Amino acid sequence: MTITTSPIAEAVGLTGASKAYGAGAQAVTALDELTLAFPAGTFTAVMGPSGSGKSTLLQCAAGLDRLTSGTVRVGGIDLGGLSEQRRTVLRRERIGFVFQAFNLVASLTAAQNVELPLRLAGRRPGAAAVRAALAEVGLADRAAHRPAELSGGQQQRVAIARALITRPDVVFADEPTGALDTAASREVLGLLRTAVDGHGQTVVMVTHDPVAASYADEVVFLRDGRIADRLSGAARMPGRAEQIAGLMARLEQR
Amino acid sequence: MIALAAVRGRAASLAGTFAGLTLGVALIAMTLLVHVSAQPRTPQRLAAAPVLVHGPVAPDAAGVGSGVRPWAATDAAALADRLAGLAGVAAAVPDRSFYAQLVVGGRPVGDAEDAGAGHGWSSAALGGYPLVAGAAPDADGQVAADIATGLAVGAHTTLLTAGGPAEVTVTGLVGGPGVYTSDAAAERLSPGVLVIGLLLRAGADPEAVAAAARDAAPAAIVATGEQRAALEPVQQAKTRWLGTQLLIAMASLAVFVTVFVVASTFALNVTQRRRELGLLRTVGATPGQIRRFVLGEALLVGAAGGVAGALLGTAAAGPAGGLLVRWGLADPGLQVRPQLLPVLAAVAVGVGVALVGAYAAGRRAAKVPPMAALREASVEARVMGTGRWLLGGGALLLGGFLALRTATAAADERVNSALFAAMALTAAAALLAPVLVPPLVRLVSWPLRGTRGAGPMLVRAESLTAARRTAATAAPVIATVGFAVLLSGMVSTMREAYPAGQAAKLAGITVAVPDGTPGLTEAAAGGRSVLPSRVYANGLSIAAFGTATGPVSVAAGVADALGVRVGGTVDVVFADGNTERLTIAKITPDGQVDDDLILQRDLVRRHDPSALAEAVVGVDAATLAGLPGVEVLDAKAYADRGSGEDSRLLWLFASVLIALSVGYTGIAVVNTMAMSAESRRPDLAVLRRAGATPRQTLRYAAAEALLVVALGTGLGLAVTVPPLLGMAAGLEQEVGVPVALRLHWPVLVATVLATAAVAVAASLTATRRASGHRTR
Repeated sequence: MTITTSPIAEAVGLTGASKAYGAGAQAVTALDELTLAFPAGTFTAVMGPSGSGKSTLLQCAAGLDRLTSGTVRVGGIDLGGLSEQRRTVLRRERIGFVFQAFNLVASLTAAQNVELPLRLAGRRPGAAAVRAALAEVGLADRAAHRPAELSGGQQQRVAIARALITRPDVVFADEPTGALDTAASREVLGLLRTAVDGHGQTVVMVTHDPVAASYADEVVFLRDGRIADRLSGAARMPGRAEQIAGLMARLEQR
Repeated sequence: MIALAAVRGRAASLAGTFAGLTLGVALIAMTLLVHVSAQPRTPQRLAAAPVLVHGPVAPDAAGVGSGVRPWAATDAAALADRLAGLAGVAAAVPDRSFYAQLVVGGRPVGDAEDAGAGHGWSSAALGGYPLVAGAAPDADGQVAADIATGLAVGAHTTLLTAGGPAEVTVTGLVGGPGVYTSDAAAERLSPGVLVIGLLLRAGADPEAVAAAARDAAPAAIVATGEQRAALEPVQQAKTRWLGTQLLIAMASLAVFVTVFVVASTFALNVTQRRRELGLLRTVGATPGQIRRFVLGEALLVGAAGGVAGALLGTAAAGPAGGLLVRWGLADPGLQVRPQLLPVLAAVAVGVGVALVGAYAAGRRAAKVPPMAALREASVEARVMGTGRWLLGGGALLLGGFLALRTATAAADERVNSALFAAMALTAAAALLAPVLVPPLVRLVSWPLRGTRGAGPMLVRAESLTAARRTAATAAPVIATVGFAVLLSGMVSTMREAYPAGQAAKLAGITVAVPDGTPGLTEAAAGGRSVLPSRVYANGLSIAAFGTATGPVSVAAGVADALGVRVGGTVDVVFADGNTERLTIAKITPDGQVDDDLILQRDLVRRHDPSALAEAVVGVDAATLAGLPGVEVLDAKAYADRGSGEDSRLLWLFASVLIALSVGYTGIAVVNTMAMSAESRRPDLAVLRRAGATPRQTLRYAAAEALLVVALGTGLGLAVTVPPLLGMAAGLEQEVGVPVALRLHWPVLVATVLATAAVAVAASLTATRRASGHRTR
């Protein structure tokens, strides 16, 4: 676990970030001169209508995709200057991922999926650590099961255990509850919340579910690749989800 | 761990690669074992002499086997006297071999190919062959016969030697093969001596005797143990050379097809696993790690397939050797024994081949971006990488070059040259298939354009957008159809060409040919036909031909090897061990048959009393009536007979190779079809939800399989045409009549139908299974 020197230090920051797909007349601007920082030890939700650039933001911030212009920093390191190899190693050490689906390697057991990042880093995973990680997400008894034998919620929890096993500074989650029912969603969001509150990690989550967004400390609304609105305040306050839904609705009408 | 888990998790989709590798390694192990076992061995009839002394071994100018330089009779006798005086030597026996064949019941008996079955009586001791009954021959008109002939002591029979038939009396029976005359008669029939065998006293050390013999005969070669194999008869070397050609063709085809199968299945594999590979990338796998996973997977499958193949190949080597013997492509004494080294080599080749096949796939896998895990539908981004263009273009150029070379290759290299050309072109077609597929799909599916059904629309769209996958599925079909059409077409074209050329030359003429004998005796040939012999010059063994007239002429290649020009002289050692200085009057271009060295016929006869004549053209059938070992044929029958043996061998080669490649690529077809159906799963689910009945989905799968077979057939035919045209052009040059390209339609149609049936069956089975599963 990384000790942050100051609660407001940035875990991930983007400055003048632009991303365009295609070229010439067909070019689509997904991010438009966006400047944004995700402070360490916070949970941020990114929302916006389809095509607002929220997935692009997440992919660029995580170093999965390169910006057209501008800079991305993860833990103070500029990703733009790194080779693919170095970026991969940085991701492995500092970043965890949770996606909507296709999160697990089908041929590996739950425990093996959790071990994967450690093994890729050439470290020998301790059986106890893996067991603890699975226990933390409530799946200690499912260690030897393959993804096909787990429910969608359980698969997502394995993915979270895997994202957290390296104790990354930042966890990026892309619609982590998109394919789950209400109960499973609540469990998954609770686990992400715990990562922030219990371990001081930073979570950046793209979602279009106001209830999911209500678990975040801050909600950033995007539109046309720019910040359209921001909402801070205590997470999981009563009525907060409705408030977020209202802001979304207005954003989509404009 | 990941590679291992991946192998375990996707055992089904790797089954095809495993099967392909197993077969490949089995074939390589089998051919290597047979090849190693078929190495030259000490001739049985010299095996009882622990030390053999012979002249220098000269490589054959044509590259087939070698020949030993003979000694003249007086030199041999003097040398034998010296050797007999060495300590430990019981006897030094000058060994002579010449043409001799007994006639029983009007028919020559014994091996019809063996022109050296006759020996002097003293040679029987060199093989340890005992006199079973009667007495040894010691005068003219007496012979000792192999007890296996069924002749009795005292029987009167006919003996054929190069001069013609003569009446002889069987004085004794020998417990071993061969016909034995008195030593004096043997010296007349074969004045030259190739080898002197030393029989040792009890307890004498062969190595010590050999050392003493080397001092006594510094210019000679003294062989003990395995070294004695150099005295293998030329006929056996030729047989082995033919067998080796088949083994080489089989092994190279096995390597090629295995690389092909592994490369295409791994390519398909990587294409289908983009999501999973992307996921691994996001979780922190570097491109290098991804590449190593793919190679690790290949290594595991390669090792497993290698071990299975080694066992299978070892088990198959014995029967394969037996088949070669039965086909006349190996010495009847061949015994295939399991040996570790060739099998290990085959396993190493198998693993190497798996790695080579997976290399390109590994590179592609490493390029999968982490984003691939996030994209819902993965449409192939770039169809052709630079590397693929380069490789495909290179293979195309190489194939074109080899096809051109086929036209100018020597007769015995033509088949393998065409085979290599087809391999290169098949690789080119498979590599370039992603570019060729879209236009071909449009062409093939043109008739379906107007139909109302959803199936044709879907099949067309799928094949076009997933050009790379379609190409990978079609690749084994290209190879299957390509090889079957090429090999059968080669035989058809040659079968047509050779008799046509011969018959054209000999129209309306009768020909006397050997019947159950290796050649014609002088009594049948009447001093007219070509008289082949072997001579030795400048360290080379050369095929010489005595013709009725004409100056000394030599083929360009042989002239180069000898280092002579027109007007130059060369000292030539003849079969009787005597040397003559010849002046070269003419140099002829290479590539024509039987013209290494052409001499005056009576010169050849003077130095080689046992030379047998070839076929005699334009004989009067009546004068030859009743003569054993000769048959008179008309031009057509002669032409058919002449090409009969070549054609039998060719058809044998072709059948073995067709069975091999078609059976092999059949596995790959099943594999890629099944994998392709597996990747169709989401589409099938969508189709069903959109209201397709199970019957409709199956029809859709079958239609797609047929489309792929049609594509593969088209490309397969395209890759065989250039090598076949090259072959036809080469044959036209050789036989001097126009030769048209001929396809073997029954084989072609059968192969396409069988491939289509296998592809549709595999696709339907896999689709039915895929439909039964829960879909995401």
